[in-house]
Amino acid sequence: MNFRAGDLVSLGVFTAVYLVLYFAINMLASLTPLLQPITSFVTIVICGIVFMLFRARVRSTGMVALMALLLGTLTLLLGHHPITLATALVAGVAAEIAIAAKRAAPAASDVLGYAFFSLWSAGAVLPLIFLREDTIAQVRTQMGSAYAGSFAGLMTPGVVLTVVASYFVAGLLGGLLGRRMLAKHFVQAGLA
Amino acid sequence: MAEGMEEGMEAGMEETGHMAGARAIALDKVTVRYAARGEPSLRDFSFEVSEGECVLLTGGSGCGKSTVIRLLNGLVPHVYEAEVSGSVSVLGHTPAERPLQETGRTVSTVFQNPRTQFFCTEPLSEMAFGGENAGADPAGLRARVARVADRVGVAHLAQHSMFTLSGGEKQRVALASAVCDQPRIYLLDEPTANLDDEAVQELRSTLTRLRDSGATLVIAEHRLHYLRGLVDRVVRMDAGRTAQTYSSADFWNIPGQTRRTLGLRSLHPPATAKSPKPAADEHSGLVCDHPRFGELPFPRGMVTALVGRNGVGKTHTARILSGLEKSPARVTLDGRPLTRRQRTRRAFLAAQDVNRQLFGPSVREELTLGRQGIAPSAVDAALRRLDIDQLADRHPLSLSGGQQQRVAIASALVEGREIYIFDEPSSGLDYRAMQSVSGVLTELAASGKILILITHDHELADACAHALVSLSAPSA
Amino acid sequence: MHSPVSHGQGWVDVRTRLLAVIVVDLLLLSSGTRFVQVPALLVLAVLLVLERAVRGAAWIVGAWAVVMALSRWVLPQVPGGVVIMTALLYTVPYVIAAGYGYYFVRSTTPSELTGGLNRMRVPRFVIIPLAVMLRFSATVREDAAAITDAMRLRGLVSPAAVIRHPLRTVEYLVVPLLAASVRSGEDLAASAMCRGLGAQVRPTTTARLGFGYGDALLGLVVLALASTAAI
Repeated sequence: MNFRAGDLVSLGVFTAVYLVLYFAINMLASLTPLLQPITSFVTIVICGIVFMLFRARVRSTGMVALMALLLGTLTLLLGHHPITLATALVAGVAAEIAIAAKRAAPAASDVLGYAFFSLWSAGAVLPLIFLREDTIAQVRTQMGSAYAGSFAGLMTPGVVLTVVASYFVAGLLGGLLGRRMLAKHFVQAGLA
Repeated sequence: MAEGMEEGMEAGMEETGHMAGARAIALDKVTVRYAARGEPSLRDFSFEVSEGECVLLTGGSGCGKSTVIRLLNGLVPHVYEAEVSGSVSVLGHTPAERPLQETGRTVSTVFQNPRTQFFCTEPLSEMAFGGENAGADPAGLRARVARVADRVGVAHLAQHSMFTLSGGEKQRVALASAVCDQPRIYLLDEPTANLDDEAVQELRSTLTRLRDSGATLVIAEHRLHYLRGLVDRVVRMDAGRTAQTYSSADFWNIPGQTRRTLGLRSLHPPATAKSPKPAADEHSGLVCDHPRFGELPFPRGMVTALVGRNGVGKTHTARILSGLEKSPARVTLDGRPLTRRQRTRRAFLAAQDVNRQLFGPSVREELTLGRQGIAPSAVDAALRRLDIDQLADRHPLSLSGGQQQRVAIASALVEGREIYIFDEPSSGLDYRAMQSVSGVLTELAASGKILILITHDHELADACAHALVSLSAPSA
Repeated sequence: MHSPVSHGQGWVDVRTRLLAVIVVDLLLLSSGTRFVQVPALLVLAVLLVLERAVRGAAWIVGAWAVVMALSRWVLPQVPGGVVIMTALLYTVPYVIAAGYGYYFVRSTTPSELTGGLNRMRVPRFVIIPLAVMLRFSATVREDAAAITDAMRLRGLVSPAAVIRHPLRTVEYLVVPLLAASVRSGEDLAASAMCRGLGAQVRPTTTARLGFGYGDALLGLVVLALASTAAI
């Protein structure tokens, strides 16, 4: 894969901004993980601005997938579930495919690309589907079956999938926000 | 004396058997037009440098000296796209036809912004970075880094993170890094833009040693006084062409009036400021009663310079005065105390990098951001007063540094702010831009505002500051 | 971000540390048992203290103790406490994993990491962005602080403004932040490439790499942790 050094540096710069914003906003939910779906939604929308400027400046194929992979790797190191690596890879590739379909409408393909891209962090909530049995068992031993039942009712696969879908919607919104900021600011400033 | 550097020179010379006096750089009728701009930045420009020579390129902003540097290290056209015609030869090669990284093995560049030119977070790693990228043997490289660190005087910084170094220290590490790369040619693009007097003198002494060891130096600069006796030849540029070439002696003998007309900065080291400390008036002006520094008065109607050694607390004081920082210090305006919140509404603080203070999509909107009820006539008046009315529809981030400064000031004027604090407003500005900053500050002061100027630029302070408040570390 | 002491005289090679952190993360987050958490937490505390991050160690052990105490004695008595308790217990292994990540970042310099990854022949399209990120994150935070200061002076960031015009506030922060980052990034790329970043040659490193007793010790500790997870 022959990426240019200058593009790789840009990737590092934009991913750094993305992560700083990501952590700043998600820190608000660090003590109440129940807020996490909300802060993730907000982060995705805001970071749409970062993504769109990145796309405007660096258009080589594969850079978006690489960004997703980098985000997955770094958040894994900093405390995400290992499955995030897989979701990041899938999200990144899906985003590249969406972006490549720019025959239809270049603007729309970028927005759709960002929506797929935003699924990279789904790895944070997917374990609620896989580890459900373990966590329920834990609650049962501590609190009894009744409580365990209500917990199981709260964290259903349906809830989790809704959260993941919300990331996609947030991505669409963020993509649109990003394009608006491009037109309003970055193009005028000569940066895009 | 300069063993580390001599070693570098010898290593370079062994490669091609080049002798001092041979032609190291040859530009022949070069024209450069950047992709985004209409006018060419260089027109039919010719330039030659022999091995071992030390040449100064100077001229007002936009004269093309930075473009010359970029041609020599290959940044034009590899990073900055441009149409280039004419021939460019550096040590027998054309930088446009080789990868940047290859040209970088024999040509080292020191850039003007200490904050953004280092890649590693420790000085020694930064110095080794070039050698590592070239695949050098680690043991030899480590030894070389240690030797150069001693010679250039940065060994004592080895334990510190690059982020905690002062601007001058960062530039010294940048220069040490360049020496470690053992280049044949050193290019310096306004290396003193962000440095104070002490750091400038240290840079001069390092450059002197480099020159004495036989290095070839090309320096693009606005600040001229520290290069006296260091350079062999001066090329003054104007609008992309050579305006005039001087021998070193002739250049530093240019009379004051002529050099001002030519738009050049002072040729001689600035005299230390002799302005008096202002008298504290109980009923007028800003007074800060600081537990450590004592009483600091800033009267209305004049520009007061705030000076002191690096790190003593000038920026800290500016932040207290503007209400950004909590402090036990008491601040009064015209005799009445100001709370922190009131200070943030009355004060304007122009820190470095004004582009971090601009938020609107156009200059006009910038002036009305966040406030209701500002009349369009007030906006127009402010724009005219600062001579930026023709920029009203431009995006603030597309403007030059000096223009951005004026936009920021205009937004404060429109809100009727009283206190204007400037932290290094003339960093890297040429003579004309510096004069224009001085003009703006003087005009603001004349209209009764309180002006506080933090600067290590003596020319600016001499031009507009009539009073001086000096911060000194308290004894014991 | 990391302690100012010169690294490279560390007791463990960066590659061992990286592997250890990844393995412990996997143990913590995929097994789902409680038995690995306590030993992992203790090991983390020791590692942090060795890195002179005593406050971090105290903070994370303290936080864990508080969560455990709440879950055991307080929350079961509170209505709706089960939900909170489950949520809290769910995040404990994540917080410990994040603690290990913090340990890694604190104990590693970017040059060391780049050196180790190059030694492992990791492709440069991974190494360069990682190195840039480690270098640039501090600058991004500095710029963000300067921008929010300016916003405060202009009256653009009051609690009322954030609530009533959230998008506008985001615009005021993110647009200048990106503009400043793009400009700094250009400078950084230019100067790094002039010094050889991106050359065809695989870079060498002056960071100290090499396996010793420290690595063996850490390896044994991680193996021990892995065995508790098998219980």
